[in-house]
Amino acid sequence: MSDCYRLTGVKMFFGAQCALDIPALNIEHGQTLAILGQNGAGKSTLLSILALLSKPSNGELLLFSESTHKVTRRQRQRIGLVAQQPYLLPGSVHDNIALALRCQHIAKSEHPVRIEQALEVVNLTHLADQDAATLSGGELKRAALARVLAYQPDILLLDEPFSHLDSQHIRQLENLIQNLSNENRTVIFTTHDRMQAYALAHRHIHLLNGRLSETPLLNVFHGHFSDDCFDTGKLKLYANPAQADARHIAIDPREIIISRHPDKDSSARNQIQGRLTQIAEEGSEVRLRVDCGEAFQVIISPQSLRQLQLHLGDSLWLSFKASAVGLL
Amino acid sequence: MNYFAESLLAALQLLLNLDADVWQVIITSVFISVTAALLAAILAVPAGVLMAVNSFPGKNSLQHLLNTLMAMPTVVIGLLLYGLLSRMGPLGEWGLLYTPTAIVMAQAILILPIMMNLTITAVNGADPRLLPTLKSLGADRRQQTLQIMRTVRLAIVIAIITGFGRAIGEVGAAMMLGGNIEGYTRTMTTAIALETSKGEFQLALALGIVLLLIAFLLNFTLSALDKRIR
Repeated sequence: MSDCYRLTGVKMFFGAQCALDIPALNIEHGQTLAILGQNGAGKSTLLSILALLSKPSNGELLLFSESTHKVTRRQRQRIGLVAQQPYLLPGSVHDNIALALRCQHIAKSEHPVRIEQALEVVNLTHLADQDAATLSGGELKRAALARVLAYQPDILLLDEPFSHLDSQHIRQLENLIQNLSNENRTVIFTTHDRMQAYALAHRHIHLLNGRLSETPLLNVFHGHFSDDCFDTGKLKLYANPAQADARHIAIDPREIIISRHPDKDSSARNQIQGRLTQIAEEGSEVRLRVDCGEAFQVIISPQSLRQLQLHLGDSLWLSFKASAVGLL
Repeated sequence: MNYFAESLLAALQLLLNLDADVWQVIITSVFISVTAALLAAILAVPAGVLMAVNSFPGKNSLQHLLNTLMAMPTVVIGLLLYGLLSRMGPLGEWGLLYTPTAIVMAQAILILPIMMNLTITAVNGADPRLLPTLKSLGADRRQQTLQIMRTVRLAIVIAIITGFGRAIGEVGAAMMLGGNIEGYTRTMTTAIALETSKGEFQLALALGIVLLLIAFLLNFTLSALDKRIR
């Protein structure tokens, strides 16, 4: 399958501050991609670049193998963006969708059917004639989604799409994302909710201070390299020193093996002792919190939990390879 | 005091009796200033929107120039246009000096920077998500401009009314370029200046009352529109 986006050396500066630094990122067409990260991590900046609204300060962005240096109308038509706080123009919900269809030069004869279908998908048919200024936060978001769905873009970019929605509409949107994915459309969304991202998306990327990682940002530690180790101030961890200027590391919680005793025969260079401080059920998995000086999150299966007969306060050994340490 | 009261009474009588000379001047004046305001609006509003939403080299300098032009004395505009339109000037062949067209041109030039600046302020004051939303929906430059104008339409109407108010009260350029020809280029302001110098205080006062009424009406409309925006 072809890539819909190809980013090479993309950097975005606001003044002297580098808000985004992505050496390389390819996004396959038809894929659902979740972008995770804290506030200010660069998620919206990345979406704005992908939506062709902002030009990166450096680097290149290819959309379906075409340069985006000069954005064409055809390129804009392939992308639909629903912002975190969408803006509806003065007028009714219907007027807003009609405007989008006019902007996209879609034949007027098709407008009624497209508007009706889009409103139906987001469950807003009853509010078609309502003034956009009187909508609630959730309704506004759904109206903005309908406005984009009406022109059927190949790529849908959703910035925090689940915020302000009630549980019924969250489920509805989750189904919609899955349906769009089945229709071979690319959906890229940002979220804080890791579980939701894992449930909905084929692929997840994580942003921290504008830097990209495919490693889940759970065990994120700040520090610096000294010799072959990354020093967090409390722990020294073996990591691949290829990127010696990295200021953060992240360790995939699924890459950490736990045991009662240290494994001397293991190839895992990082072996740390800690104390089990939390056991929590999370979907079909179990999340453990182990205090080793730094607090580590480890994800194991319920079977492993039973097998190891873990209890709070137990002394455990965590082991993981240097290659499991992602650098940011 | 007696002289003033008698003149005021006579002025009101002139207005109430629908004196043909007085109304001729009022109609000429309103016609010229409305034409100038519309002409300036056609140029200034889209130019203001485009300037507000685009970044280009020299934008700051252009903004400074506009600010300066807002304070340009009307006689200077009159002087420059006189030089251009007089028989000896480069546009002398057009034969526009001492015609209503010359006054329209002068008033339009006078109020163009005002309307443009007010439009720029209106667009800059609009929701910052407006332009990115239009861009992301695929709106081309023309659609973007039209939608932005539609969104800030009340503020644009205010800009046009403000420009009209400035034009109708202007005297220097109208005198220099119109020549105050009775029944042709005589506007309220030039008539007031002339009639006062002739000692026809009543007629001047009648026209002054009309100018004041127009100013009051414009301010009333502006404040009503301003309230609707807020």
